Amino acid sequence: MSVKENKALVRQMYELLNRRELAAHFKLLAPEFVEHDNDRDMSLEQVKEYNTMFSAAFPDATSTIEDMVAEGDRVAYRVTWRGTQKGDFMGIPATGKKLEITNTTIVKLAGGKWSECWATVDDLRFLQQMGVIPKK
Amino acid sequence: MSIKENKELVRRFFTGPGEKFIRQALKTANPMAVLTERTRKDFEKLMTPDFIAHGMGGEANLDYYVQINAMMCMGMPDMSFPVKHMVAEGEYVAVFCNTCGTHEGPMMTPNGIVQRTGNKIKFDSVYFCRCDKGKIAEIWGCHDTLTWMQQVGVMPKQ
Repeated sequence: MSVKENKALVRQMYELLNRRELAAHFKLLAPEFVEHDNDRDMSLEQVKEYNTMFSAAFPDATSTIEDMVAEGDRVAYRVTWRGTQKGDFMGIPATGKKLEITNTTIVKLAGGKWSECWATVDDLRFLQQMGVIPKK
Repeated sequence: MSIKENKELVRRFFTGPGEKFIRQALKTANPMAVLTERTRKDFEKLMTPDFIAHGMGGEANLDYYVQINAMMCMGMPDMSFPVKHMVAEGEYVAVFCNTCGTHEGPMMTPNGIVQRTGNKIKFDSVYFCRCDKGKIAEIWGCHDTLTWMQQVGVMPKQ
């Protein structure tokens, strides 16, 4: 896979998420896929569960890729999610509040699939926007 | 500049003034002034004059970024930023690192200034750096802010 193909694969993953084509999205994750998210590790099954839950709780959520850098088998990108919390999410009842959060990820690709990724998520801002934690 | 040169430039930025220098500065009458002066000298070599940092809900110019980093030295004199991944292309370098140290002094956080707890700090940070002719022109930072706030004791652990 070339750097160009790897970047296209990252874009495709987010386009599928934006269109709520979750089954097609999950097919591009390798069976051994692991997401290292804020120092927690999530298996393929846990990622599937999380993304399904997020899509249901934020039915209008869309992602925009802000920047993308690729080298070798890795792609780093910043992605902004915008949406409205219309359903329960991780124990937070539907708030109707707006979400706007930018996360950064480095993904390792192999054989046209995602094999591993490392993500940093601004959870503090997320919880502030949902009204769970007061803003300072 | 080559990708290799840009990576080297960004690595220098993550070195900081070093614990020895910071501890000596803390013994002086005005540590913040000493650390600010040193950080300014370092950053003037590494960053463009119109440098902008994005993150933590706002933007910082070079002057403000110097102050934020000098303050970080006060908060964690043993601070280090071990790099776990670096991905570079064109004028961009993406860096995945840990922010590590011991919370020994007032620390500027997304939740305001937090006084010393003595706690060990270790959370993930990712920086996107845009380089321009051998200097860093722009940085976008993203941190695992919730873990950070838990480690400085302003947020309960789950």
